[in-house]
Amino acid sequence: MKSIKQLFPAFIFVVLLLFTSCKKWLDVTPKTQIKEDAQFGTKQGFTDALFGIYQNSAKSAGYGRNLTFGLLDILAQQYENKSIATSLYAKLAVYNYTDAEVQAIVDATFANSYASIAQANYVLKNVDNGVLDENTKRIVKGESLGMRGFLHFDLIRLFSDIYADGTNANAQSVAYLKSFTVSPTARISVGAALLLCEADLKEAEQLLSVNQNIDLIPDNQGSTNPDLFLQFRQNHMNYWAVKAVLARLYLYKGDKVNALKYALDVINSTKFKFVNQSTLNVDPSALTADLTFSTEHVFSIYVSGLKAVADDVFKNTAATGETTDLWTTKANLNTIYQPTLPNHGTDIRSVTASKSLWNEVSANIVYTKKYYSDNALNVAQRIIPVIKLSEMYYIAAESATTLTDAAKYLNVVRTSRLIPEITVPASSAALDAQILLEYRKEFYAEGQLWFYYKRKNLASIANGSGTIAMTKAKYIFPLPNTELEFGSSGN
Amino acid sequence: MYKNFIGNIGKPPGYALKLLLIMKLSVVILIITIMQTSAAVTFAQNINITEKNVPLEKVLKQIRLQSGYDFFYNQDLVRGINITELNIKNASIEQAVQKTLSGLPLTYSVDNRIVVIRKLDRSPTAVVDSVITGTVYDAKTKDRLPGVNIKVKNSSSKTVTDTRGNFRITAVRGATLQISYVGYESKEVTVTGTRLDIALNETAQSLSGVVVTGIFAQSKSTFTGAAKTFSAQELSKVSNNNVLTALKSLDPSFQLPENLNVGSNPNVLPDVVLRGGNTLVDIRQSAQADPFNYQAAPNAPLFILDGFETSLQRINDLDMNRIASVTILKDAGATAIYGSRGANGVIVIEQVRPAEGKLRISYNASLVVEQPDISGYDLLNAQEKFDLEDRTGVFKNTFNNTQNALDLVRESRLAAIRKGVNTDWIAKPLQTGVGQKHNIYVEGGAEAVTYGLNLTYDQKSGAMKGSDRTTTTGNSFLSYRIKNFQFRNDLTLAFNKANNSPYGSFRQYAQLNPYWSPYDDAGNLKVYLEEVIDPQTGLRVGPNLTDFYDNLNGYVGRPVNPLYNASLNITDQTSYKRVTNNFETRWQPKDWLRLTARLSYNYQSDESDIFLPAQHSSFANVTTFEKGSYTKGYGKTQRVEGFLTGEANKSFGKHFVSASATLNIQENAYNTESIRVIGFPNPNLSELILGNQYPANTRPTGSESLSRSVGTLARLAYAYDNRYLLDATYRLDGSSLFGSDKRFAPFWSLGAGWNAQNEEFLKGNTAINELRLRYTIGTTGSESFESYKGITTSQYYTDRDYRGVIASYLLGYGNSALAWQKTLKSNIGLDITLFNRFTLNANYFNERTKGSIAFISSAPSSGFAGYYDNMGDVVNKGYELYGRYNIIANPSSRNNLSVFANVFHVTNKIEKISSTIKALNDRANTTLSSTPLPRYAEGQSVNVIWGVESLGIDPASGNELFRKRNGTITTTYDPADQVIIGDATPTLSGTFGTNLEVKGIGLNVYLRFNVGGDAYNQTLVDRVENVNVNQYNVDRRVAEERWQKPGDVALYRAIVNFAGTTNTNITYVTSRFVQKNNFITGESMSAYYRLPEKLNKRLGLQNTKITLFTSDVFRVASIKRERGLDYPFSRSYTLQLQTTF
Repeated sequence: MKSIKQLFPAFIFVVLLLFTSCKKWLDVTPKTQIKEDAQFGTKQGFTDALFGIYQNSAKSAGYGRNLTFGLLDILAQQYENKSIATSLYAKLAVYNYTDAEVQAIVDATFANSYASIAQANYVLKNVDNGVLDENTKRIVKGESLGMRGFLHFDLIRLFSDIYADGTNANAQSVAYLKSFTVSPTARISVGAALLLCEADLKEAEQLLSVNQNIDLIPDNQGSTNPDLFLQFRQNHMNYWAVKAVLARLYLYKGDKVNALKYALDVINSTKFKFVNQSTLNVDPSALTADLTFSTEHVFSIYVSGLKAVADDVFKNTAATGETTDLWTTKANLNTIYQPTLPNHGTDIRSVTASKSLWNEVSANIVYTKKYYSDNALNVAQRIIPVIKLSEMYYIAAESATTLTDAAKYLNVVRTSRLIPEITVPASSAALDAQILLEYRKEFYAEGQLWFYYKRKNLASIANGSGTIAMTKAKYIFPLPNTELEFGSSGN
Repeated sequence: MYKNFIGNIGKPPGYALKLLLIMKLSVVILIITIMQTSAAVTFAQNINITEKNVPLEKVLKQIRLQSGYDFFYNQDLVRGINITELNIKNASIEQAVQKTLSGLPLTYSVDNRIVVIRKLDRSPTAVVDSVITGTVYDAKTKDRLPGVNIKVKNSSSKTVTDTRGNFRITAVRGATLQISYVGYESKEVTVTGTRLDIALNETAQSLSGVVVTGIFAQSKSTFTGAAKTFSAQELSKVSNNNVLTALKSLDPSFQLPENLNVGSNPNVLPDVVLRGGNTLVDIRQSAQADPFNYQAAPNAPLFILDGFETSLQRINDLDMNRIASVTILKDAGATAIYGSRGANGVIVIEQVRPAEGKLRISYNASLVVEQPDISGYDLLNAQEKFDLEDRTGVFKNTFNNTQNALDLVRESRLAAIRKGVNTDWIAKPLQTGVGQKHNIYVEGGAEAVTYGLNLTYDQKSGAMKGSDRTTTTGNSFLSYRIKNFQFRNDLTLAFNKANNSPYGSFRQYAQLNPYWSPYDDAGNLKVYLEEVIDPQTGLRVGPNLTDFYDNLNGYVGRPVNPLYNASLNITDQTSYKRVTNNFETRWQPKDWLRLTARLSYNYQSDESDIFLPAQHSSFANVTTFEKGSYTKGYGKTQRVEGFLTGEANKSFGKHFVSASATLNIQENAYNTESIRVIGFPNPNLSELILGNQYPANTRPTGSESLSRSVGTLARLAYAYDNRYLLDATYRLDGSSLFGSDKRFAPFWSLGAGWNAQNEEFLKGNTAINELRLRYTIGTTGSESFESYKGITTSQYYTDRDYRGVIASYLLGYGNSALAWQKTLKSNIGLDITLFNRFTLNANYFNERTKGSIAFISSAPSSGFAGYYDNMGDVVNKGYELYGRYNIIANPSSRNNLSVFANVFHVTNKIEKISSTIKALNDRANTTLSSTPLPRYAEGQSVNVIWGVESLGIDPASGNELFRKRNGTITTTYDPADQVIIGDATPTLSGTFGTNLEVKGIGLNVYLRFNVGGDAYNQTLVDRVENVNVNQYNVDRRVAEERWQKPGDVALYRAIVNFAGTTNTNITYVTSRFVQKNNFITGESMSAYYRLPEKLNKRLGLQNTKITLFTSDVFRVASIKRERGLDYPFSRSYTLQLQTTF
């Protein structure tokens, strides 16, 4: 009996010991995965998670293809891939959004953007946990908020009707995800969603103002600094990029005063420079090749595996390439760059330029070399421009209070592209026509043309040498079925 | 001398049966046996004898015959005694014997169905030491009891019964033997002869009872839970190969749902469900990267081997000779002690412990023959297939060129048929597999130390050539006892190697056309099966009809000879090595108190190898240096489990209290890796490192999991006067699998029972020996799902950077509110034993599972495709009945005859479904499928079959008519018209049969039946309706029963319709193919012969037994369909020899 009495307290002790430590013990750490508290326990973890937003956006379903040269430029009829009616490209080119294959592409784009947003919200959920110093915190938070606003803005532009100076402000738009959650967030109106974008971007602008530096890609090529957090600002949602997005947003809303203000902020920062034709290198195998004009990038996305995609899409010579490749005929390119006009043949973007950005396989097959990445050390050939300096000038031109000013802004770009200046347009319609021409020249394989067409709500758009009639149904991406099913319409 | 007369007296039935046995055992015998059963019931207790002037011996024989009781007496005592007149009517055994012996100098005693007749005069007989032999058995179950202590009173002579319950002791006649055994009432028996048969009764107040729960043991008579225990003897009546198949026959609620695809493949683990399973299986989860089955199936019961959780694979490979008992725990009362893991039921398996005594060696050998069963296949022969092709316009084309080519093909096929080519393709990959199993067990030891060594070699050979599975297991057991401490250590090593057939999927053989020969004229294996040369061009005709032939191995093109592929040096194998060590220490400071600590360590490493050389036809379209592939997989799993248990049992007068408390911790980890290398140009280069390269853009794949759990258990059982029983269990379990908010969950159970046979009004009653009512209610949980679902985690990109930084990405949304799936179970049970002959156990159960863990789709705007949450409620209701009638039960001679029937019925109903499932249902409304798609609807069973209602084939057109949801009739199939067209839930399923042993010759028959319930006959759809006659061979019904001309009343659609055009449209799921699924199968039949003691002795052996097992020898079914699509089913025959020396 004695022994039992002695043993009993020992037993109780063991039980208590086990229970106090067992909660911790049950908290298992997966070997190949990082838990939330571990991820956000160090500055490096924050960096990794923040970069996860960009990395996810750089996937093919996001800005690595669909939202730049892939999906959007096919919709903008930039390529010649329409003869095989059953191919995906042809189905995209006729806006057959009900086709299962097309639906899958559009759905993947939608899901990718929201996955990036969830990653941003994941960072934002933890950013105030006290691990980061104030300066770093402002940058992490600012970039995350900036990306959240930027991604939502593109989703709004793609999946809902245009704002049309407020006429459609109450049209149903997409959900604005402000927290890390899986419970459905109600879709809101275009107007409300834009206000949330504006708020996020404004906050980002304010937070990021602590670091207004830009290290241009050609200058930071080969950088070996171990702390990469504050480097490569052009590939981050930097202070100026946030301003540029705001310029876009205000123009989209018809707030030309603010659009002009923000566009000029970026222009006047002098952080970004137009390329100089004399020093431009267009040989993709060269270390200094820079076919996307990286010094002009206010924000561009870095795509680690761009070579594989570009080789697949822009480099084949095989006959069956039509279902995989994206090309334009030389004749159609000439309708864009009009080299036959006096002094237009020198346009550095034109097929006729002495340093050509094009790979002419034949008169019928001309590929852009923008994304050729034939030198593994050349970072400049692994980036896709998302916001360029030229767009800021175009926004400024469109928002300018006088046509003279407008012409002045347009001419800055035209001069740097080595084409003659325009005279002051006779009307704002004439100005618009000029701007449209510029968009077509400037953003080949960059996706911005589609946004322009849609914002301007053009009833017909250029399709090669002809035109194609546009409708509201063609301009608005349908929401994924799963979103309609499991999302919340807010009613 | 004294002589045991049981044999003589039991002559008539014994002789009759023996005669029949000699006349070969067949199904006939079963019918006769059953008829005998009904006859036997009438002669049970009412003894009627009217005799004049007969020898006493003859009267006793009659009583023996009529009562079934055994008699035990000295022949000299009764010799010469004549009964002048005797008139017994409707008497009980006691009355009959009393009346018979009245007036004679004899007395009698009835001891558990044995009547001992002695001299009335009790003068002591001569005091002479003699060797007494005997058997000790359980009074009720008649199971022989090993390890019973037998001691001669007031003497030092003592012994222990052996594993068969036999003992041998030296004692004088008239001495008293003291018999004691844990869990049984001690007994004193007077030595009356040289042979004694002793029946022991169970006690209520015992530490070690009969229901082994894996954590503690409790006496059956005080246990309120629904549990079913099977002894090694019972299991050995069914099967010697696999404990899972044995349990399937013994308990119909233990089910191995038939898998029509994998058939009898020895290398595929069966699915196991108990009482139908409680989890609403998420249809999405099927594609899991778990090549080594480390993750238990969501509905699989928990397997406990020697007290520790173990994998289904280990049970599947377990050597049955090592099993001491299997207990199936079903209801809350029985499974609540396993709390979070017990929802799907628990199977507790105890392995044999070595018995004390001299060194004993047991040897056990089996020869297993597996014969393929392809009775479901009914294919066309060469001529018939050709005729069908001809008739359906395969060789007709409107284009000249094609027509010419087709003519050549037709000519070539016809020539082959004329030459006598008629290849029976499905016979080609089959074999009669011959496997063997050897087991040696060495045991012995004295009181303090006992040891056991076991070695098993088990080689199973499947019905397809080259498919086998070899398991070698070594085990050592050591037990050491010092004072009231006991230490036990059990170490097991296992090695397994499994080869899959190089012949690939059986499916490809069923579709090959019989007019193709696998050999060319020179007798060599062809690569391509059809080679038609155009005499004009000298070139092969093509691309002809058969160049779109799907070879089912990734190559669509020319039909390739699968025998050629099989002749290459193909490897497809898996292997594992396992170490298991269980350590246990017990301390019993008091009679009523015991503390046990246990620790188990289990480690298994797996490997898999799949090698296909370059010549394999699946590489037909691949460039040279990428031909050939080697896929190598590695897996490791480790399980550590610890237990600390305290048990106390004490009686206070009529009160009996039993309490126990347990603490257990467990850690489970596994990881798998897989790599693929390509480029093995030569078939002899079959080593991984000889490969050329990794396939472009691939990398190693794998999975990793770690889960931990802790649990505490408290249990209290109370019995009053062994009449009223109460027990309560409380368990608190914590698991790392669940979200941080819901890490711990309580589970409980309450049970009550009433032993009516112990009530005053039933005591002394000879008719009702046992009458117990039980009721339990409680909750249990289930945790069979992947780990890390409850936490949000990220992973790093390994294949890309973002300006020099390796970023991380979210893997999924971790639902911190993910909670335990809980099943509320209630069970009402009844146990009856009548006249010590008839037993009935019945259970009615209701199991309601709340919050099955399911993948819930979320709006993509959340950034996630979905997350895991508790959703989907299922209710299972059903009953199970186990009835057995012992016609003859004679433990000492082992002569017995009994019949049994076990019946099971369960229905389930979905009460609530998740949004994901709703979405899948919606998708099913628009998806055209020729296989019924799973859909779960609230208020319906999970087993219902959905499809469009068919009105049959229109005799005029040969097209099918459908009824739309709005009632109108149409010829257009619309998946939106799908309704419930059948329910696979059987009305009744179960097993019945008989067990018989006479003079060492035994026969066991287990038949399975299934009544009611529907099945969708996929064979009719895939092989009769949606056939591509151009390419593949088909079921005979295509040629004979399909609609051919207007007016035909046919079951199947036309191939060429009324308009003369070939029907190309596909038949989707319609009610036309729902058929009643009734069947009866000869699941297991066995016959055995025990060598008589004399012969054993002469051979220097003990307990020698030869058994012939058969399984699935026949099957009578209402559905004619192809079974065993990827691997055929088989019938097996096993010859087993057991002996000890």
